[in-house]
Amino acid sequence: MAELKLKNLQKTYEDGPTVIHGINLDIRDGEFMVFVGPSGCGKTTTLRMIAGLEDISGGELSIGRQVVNDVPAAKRGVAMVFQSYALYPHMTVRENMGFGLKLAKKPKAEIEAAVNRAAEVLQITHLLDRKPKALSGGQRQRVAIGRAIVRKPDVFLFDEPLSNLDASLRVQMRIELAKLHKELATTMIYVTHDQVEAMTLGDRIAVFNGGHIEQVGTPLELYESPANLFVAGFLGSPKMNFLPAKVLGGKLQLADKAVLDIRVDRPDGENVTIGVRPEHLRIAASGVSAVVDIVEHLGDTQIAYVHVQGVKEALALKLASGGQTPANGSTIQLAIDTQHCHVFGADGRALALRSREAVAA
Amino acid sequence: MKYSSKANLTAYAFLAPAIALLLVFSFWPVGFGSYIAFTKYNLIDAPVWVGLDNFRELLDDELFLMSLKNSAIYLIVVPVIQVLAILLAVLVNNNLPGIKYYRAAYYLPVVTTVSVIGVIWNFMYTEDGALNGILRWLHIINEPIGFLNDDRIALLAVMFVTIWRGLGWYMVLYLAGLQAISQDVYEAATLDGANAWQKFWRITVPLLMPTILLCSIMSVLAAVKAFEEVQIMTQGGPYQSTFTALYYAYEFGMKSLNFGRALAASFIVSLFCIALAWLNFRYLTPKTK
Repeated sequence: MAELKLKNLQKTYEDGPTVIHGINLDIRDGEFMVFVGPSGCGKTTTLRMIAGLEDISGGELSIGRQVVNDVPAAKRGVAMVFQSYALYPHMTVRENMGFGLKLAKKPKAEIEAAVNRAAEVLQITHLLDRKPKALSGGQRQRVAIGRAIVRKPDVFLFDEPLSNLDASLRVQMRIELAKLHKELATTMIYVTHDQVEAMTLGDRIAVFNGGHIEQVGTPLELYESPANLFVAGFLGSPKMNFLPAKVLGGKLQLADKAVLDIRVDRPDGENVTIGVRPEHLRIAASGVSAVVDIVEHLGDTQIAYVHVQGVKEALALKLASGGQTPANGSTIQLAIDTQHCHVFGADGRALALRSREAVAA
Repeated sequence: MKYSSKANLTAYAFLAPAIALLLVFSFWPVGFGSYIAFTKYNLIDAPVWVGLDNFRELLDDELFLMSLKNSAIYLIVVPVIQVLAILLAVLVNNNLPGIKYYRAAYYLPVVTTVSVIGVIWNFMYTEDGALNGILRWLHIINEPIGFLNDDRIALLAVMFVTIWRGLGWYMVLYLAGLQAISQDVYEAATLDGANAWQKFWRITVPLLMPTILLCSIMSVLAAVKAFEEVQIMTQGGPYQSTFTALYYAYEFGMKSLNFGRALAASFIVSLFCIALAWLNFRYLTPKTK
């Protein structure tokens, strides 16, 4: 087991762009850290630098208090599960899982015992003599995880391991990964662009964007207190609604002139953005006027997408399944739960709110 | 008419042109050639059935036995060309600057006609040719070597041209095979602690086995059927030392109009080809489970 320290970690490709701009991050021993972000944000590159598959252009990477910038991948004590599984197609499952130990010239009995133990944990003992092409996607993923477990690494690295699986298998594997982390209590770093995986698996989440880390925190911290517009918009499904507003006498005025009792210490006339999650909007007798675009029925809930004057994107609001369903094209009044609103300045950073008062219309 | 038989008819109708071409240009010549191998035939008179006489004459003919031996020696080309082509493919599979030009350069002999290649190498091999010049300049030899005049090395000199000529073709096939191997597999091996040599032997070679099988069969057949280089560079000489089995067939068929014996020789070469192809399949087919 080991903690990791990323100190001003940078990656610049030869004659190419800088893709990681100095990342600082401490990952605790035994922690499940999730790197999340859109495609091309640098999360996989960072993971590959930790694995030793990419050179580090600048900064320092420590694993278990040892600086490993120049330590070869195989000697860093890390094991990686690839998105494509990366199983050796010509080897059986048993050979795949024992390959690392075989190269390390471990005794046959020890390899056999380690492979059998990992196979039992992952319930793939009956597959040990098959080749990868005779396995389903989920089974291949288990074998890839098994190969990592057999090496008894200090750190597990997962590079979008569930993205090739179908939705139901993904849920099942997600639960199994969470259990595995509990059992092994080893440091795990997990890259995903799926926020549900990030929210459900991670002890902490690092949100990447454009080669920077935007925010690090527990899933609830990020959900409830996003540091900026990017994090606020990235986490949550449907995503947070954003409404442009102006500061007016310490309160906020929307484009349709409605004033919300959200108090900020900013000068009058400053443009800000109000962020409100779909569950904090509701239909009321009076409030902000909106036209219903479409209503999605998800079984336990309904999501209504509505247009509000002065707001480019449709706003999403969550409605109880058994409740009233507004007709498409109808005009409704929206109440905004100002106690759960977030306000972001012109630079996109979250602003401190002075006080939160009761729901305003 | 039932749907299935109608569908079958349609399928056969679509296949008919290809089957007709195969019948006329492949199966018929093979069948007729095999028949001629058991006859006396000189293109003018009708073939006369002689049973196994042509084969008996062949086995009594020292020149044919030497030609067969030369064709067997020619098989040395196979492992040499395969190993070199794999190594070359591994080298040019790197993303080094200008690597595309190297790939093109190695492939150039493949798209050059064999007659041009033969003429160029004849020049290269002459006593005052480039090869002797280089060897003398490097002080490896004092007297020029008669590459195509010395019956001890003429066959090797011709075989070298076959290797040079075919290398690019097999390199491209191996390159395609290498590029089909996922980079992730190599990265997984890196994390498993494999060094470059272990990756080559334990990952690259096993995953290239289907390509190795294909290239091996193709090069075995090409080696046994070696003819063009011999015809252009040595015409079987000196002292008939570069006679290969097919060149023997050509000599007896086209020059002596003894088509019965020529096709009997070809028949034996075909049997060799089938046996060697079977051996390749037997020992190089990747095991599946």
